[in-house]
Amino acid sequence: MLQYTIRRLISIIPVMLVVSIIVFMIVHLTPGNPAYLILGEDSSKEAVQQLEEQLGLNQPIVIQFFDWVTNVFKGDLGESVYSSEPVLSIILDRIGPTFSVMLVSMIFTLVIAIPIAIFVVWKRQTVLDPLFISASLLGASIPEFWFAMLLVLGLGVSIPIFPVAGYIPIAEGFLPWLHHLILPAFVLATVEIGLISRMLRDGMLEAVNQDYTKTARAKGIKESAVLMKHVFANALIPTTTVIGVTIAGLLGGTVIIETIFTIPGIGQLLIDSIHRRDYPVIQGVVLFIAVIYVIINLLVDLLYGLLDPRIRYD
Amino acid sequence: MLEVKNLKTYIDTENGTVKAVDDVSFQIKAGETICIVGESGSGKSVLAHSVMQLNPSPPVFHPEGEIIFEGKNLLNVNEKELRRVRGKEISMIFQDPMSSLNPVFRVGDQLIEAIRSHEKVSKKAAKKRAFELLTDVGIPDPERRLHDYPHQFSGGMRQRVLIAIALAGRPKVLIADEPTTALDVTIQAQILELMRSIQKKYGTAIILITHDLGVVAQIADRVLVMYSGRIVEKGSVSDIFYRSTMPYTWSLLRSLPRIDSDASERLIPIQGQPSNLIERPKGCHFEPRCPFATKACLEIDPSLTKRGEGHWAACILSEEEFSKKKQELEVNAQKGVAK
Ligand SMILES: Nc1ncnc2c1ncn2[C@@H]1O[C@H](COP(=O)(O)OP(=O)(O)OP(=O)(O)O)[C@@H](O)[C@H]1O
Ligand code: SF4
Ligand SMILES: [Mg+2]
Repeated sequence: MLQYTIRRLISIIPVMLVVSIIVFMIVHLTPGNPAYLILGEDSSKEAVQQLEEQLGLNQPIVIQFFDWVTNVFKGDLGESVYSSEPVLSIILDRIGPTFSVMLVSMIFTLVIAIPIAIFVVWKRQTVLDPLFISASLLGASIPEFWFAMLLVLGLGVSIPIFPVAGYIPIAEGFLPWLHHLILPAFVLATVEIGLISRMLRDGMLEAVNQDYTKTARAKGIKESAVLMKHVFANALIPTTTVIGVTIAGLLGGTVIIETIFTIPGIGQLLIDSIHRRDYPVIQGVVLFIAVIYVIINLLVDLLYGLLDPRIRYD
Repeated sequence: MLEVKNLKTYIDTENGTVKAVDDVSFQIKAGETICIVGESGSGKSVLAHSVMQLNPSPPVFHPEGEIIFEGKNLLNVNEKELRRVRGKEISMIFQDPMSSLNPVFRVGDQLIEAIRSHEKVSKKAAKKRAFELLTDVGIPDPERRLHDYPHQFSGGMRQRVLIAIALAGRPKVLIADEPTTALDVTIQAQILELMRSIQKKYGTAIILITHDLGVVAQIADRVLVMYSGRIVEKGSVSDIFYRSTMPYTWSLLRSLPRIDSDASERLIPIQGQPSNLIERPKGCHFEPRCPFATKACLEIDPSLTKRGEGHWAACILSEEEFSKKKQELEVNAQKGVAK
């Protein structure tokens, strides 16, 4: 297991290298001169040129890339061209809100999707099942921005139960923190609830007629125990992959959600930096998201080994 | 002790209602061994599952019949009562040991679950009993094996574990649905030996479904022959093997291999397909395939009639008619060979 983990961690390096090439290319080949944008519309040509030199933008792109990559390996993501702060510390400042939204929405997802799936499988012979299928499809395909607007209008404006925007760090109180996160996290969770509950239901329905389930029933244990233990444990294995992809997908979703609910997280940072052509920050953020993505994938693979004893990592 | 009376087990399907078990009656006493034989699809498994209510329902339902265990009709008892019977009074082991253990839980935990579902014992006491059970069913090094997962066991060892699970509640009846079909011949013999020793030790009644007539000859007290959802003959081993005058039994005996039989004896498969379980023909269900059939068989659906003490068969032919026809058939067959 340890060996496997180390091997996997090492294999991250080439992946990250490719990711950084792509990120770098996209940022540097898109039109729009950062120096020009920073200085404003009616700046002089000389001033622009001077700034370009200062930022190293006049160097050949290959050199720029190598400079950046070597610095990244040293743990230095560069400085924002907008605020001159180190990119790493900018990102670290913004992690809190993003992870908070992701965490709360993941908890929502699991707390809602798992009981729903178990209940639907328990009542599988009733109309509940077709109803569930439609509902989960709806949940999985609902457009986030539209749903967010709807919730804001309903539960933020008409019946003002929840704040419509903003973020309060957990350090300033758990309840206010949670209160501000409920709407955005719920919007994010909707799609995931649809996906994961459906996946679990399918997996459980398959396990429900397996021989081992029959053995469990023949022992005389409760049907609820059969479902929640024997059937669920087996359905969880294929679902884990989806949960992994889902967590990664949440990262993408936060970009939209943070904009709508004005949460100062990574997503908003990315959008703002794109507007400002703050390319070191853009590169840093995308690289950071890629790292998170890879780590989540690794964790899911390791979790797989815990859930399914037939899998051995050696 | 256990009595099945006029049991019907039907299954709703898209094409109609499958009459998988159609008016079956039998009983079993403590310590007795009953074997159920019959072609594939004759309803043996559905019948066995019915006794423990393990058929998926819906689509499976029981339009008629009773399953009386110690005075109670299991078809009417509530869920709690049924759970008490399952594993504690009646246990079952299944055909495929490879898929009958939950792959994600340790063998010991699955065994302990069975023990604790009927006895309020501490984890420690349950573990001790699990150890004894594994020893009982002949698993070497049980202490260590309790911590292993099913995939670390061979097929024969898994079936032993499943037998241990079935025995955990000290049941009075053990139903085994082709428990050795998926195993090697040598392992088959070991598993059967194990079942016999368990029966001797605990006086368990055994209902064994099997295709192996050698096994039937060795361990059965009584035999039920099933065809298209019905019992077409029942009696002692010698009734069935030596005194049967029932054409289906006769054909079945010729079509199935026996461990103890002479290899040179040719197996003669039964011609044709098993009858349709949805739309029953009017006369005898075996008529289209029966080498003994007469015109009357198209009209009369024979019910079980007494042929001797405890020996019943469902066929309109009398003993004499059967022997006469059989002789004719043999003569014809010899003529065929001579040509
Ligand atoms: N869930 C089900 N849905 C529809 N038909 C079923 C179902 N289960 C069993 N049957 C049908 O019921 C009939 C009896 O099946 P059963 O499994 O009892 O046969 P069997 O005698 O055990 O055969 P085998 O020797 O192959 O195990 C078959 O025709 C089968 O197709
Ligand atoms: S009743 Fe007729 S068709 Fe049926 S088994 Fe007897 S002889 Fe054959
Ligand atoms: Mg069967």
